[in-house]
Amino acid sequence: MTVRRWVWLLSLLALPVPALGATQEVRLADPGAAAQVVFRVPYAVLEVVGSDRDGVRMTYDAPEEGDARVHLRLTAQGNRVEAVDPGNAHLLKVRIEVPRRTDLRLETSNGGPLRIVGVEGVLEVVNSNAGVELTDVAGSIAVSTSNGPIVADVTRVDPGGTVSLVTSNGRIEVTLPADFAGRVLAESDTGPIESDFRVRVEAPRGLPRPGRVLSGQIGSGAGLLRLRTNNAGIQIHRR
Amino acid sequence: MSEHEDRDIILDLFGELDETEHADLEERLATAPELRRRRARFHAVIERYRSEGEEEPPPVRIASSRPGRSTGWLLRIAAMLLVASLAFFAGRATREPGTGEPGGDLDALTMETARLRRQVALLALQQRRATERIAAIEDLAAQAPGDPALAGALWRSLRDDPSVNVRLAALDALFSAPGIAPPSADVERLLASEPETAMRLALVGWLAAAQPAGWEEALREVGESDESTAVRSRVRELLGGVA
Repeated sequence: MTVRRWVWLLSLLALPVPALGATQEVRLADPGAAAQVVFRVPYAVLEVVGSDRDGVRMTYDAPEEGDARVHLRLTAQGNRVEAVDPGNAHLLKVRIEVPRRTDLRLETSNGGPLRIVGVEGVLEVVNSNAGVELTDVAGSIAVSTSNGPIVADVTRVDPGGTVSLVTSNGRIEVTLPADFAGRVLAESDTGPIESDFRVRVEAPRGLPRPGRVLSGQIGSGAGLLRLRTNNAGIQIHRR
Repeated sequence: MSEHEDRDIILDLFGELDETEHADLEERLATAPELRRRRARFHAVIERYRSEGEEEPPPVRIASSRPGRSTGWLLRIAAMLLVASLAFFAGRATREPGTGEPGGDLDALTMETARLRRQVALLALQQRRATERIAAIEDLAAQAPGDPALAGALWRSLRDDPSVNVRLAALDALFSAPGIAPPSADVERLLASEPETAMRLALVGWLAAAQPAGWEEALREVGESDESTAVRSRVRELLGGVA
């Protein structure tokens, strides 16, 4: 008998049904204030999308046949919402809708590409063995991954804020607002570094750095753009 | 008067201590008149600003030549610390004659201000957000790049911070202060425990640039034992093909 037949049969018996896919939603205690969402689940293919809703909605699906035991839960305390399952061993496809103004702390690994669309806040992302793609994001950003590219389309950087993108074996492509101003330090051990911005090139402080380096100042602001990869290129685009 | 006590007083005035920490501070205040006088002076400065209707203290350029860098509440605390230190020394000069203290000595004021600024930056290294810890490291690097005490804080961040982005910022700060490179044996241990390939690649670059005693042997060891092909290949390049 297939798994789906078991689900149908068990539901008739009103027994707990293992979740093959599920949607959960929590409301924020203060919809007028920024939310904080923490997601720490390995093996996730994660997409986070900013929306106009007052709460956080998570939909997930375990695509492998027979993978019935998925215990992913949203918990909320005030405006802080968490989905934490460090013991997860299933490949999950997860989509989380959050208010557009949300601070994110996302950690996954070995699942697949991680995407964030239309979110504004302090965005901290850790992935591995896959890429990270940020589209229409704003705020301060710290992203790290390995064996995958980082592509970030940033519409606004907080005054004095940070955009730090670190990967290995993957290219970095970042688009910044035309008025971005701050210090830039971009490094690639072997790949080319290109910038649309006019950079007032300055030698890096202190020790000389091996590899290819773009170090200097864009405009006169206090932001920080820190980019590092090893055997791929870096592109800095200006909107 | 310890830096730890000053820090606790300032944090308490901003309501940042939890119940246990507040109770502990109150216990110390009960038995230390000088501590109570310091708190009263800090409190007077803060209240003066509040009574004059200012929501934020005047902008204060804390650490670097980059204008307008914001670290949110830490900037407010840092600004208050600077003003409080000014008020403190002004108060001592006019109210406590004959103490033998420098009083209105500009050098003493400068040292006190620098000490308080470092305290704020070191506090910021404990912030929950990685982006705030990165900002704190930038400030520390700009304040006193060769200071051994700050070097210790940067080294701990490089070794222990959970964020790769923060560890890289700490390495950047150490790159910018060549006089404080740790022994190559410490770097070798760090390389052995660093889980991220991107960081190990950056660390071998730093080892090759800083060249502490024994750096070539340390690099060869990494070049033979690292699990990453990219790291082993990079080490070969840095050693000029002699692996």
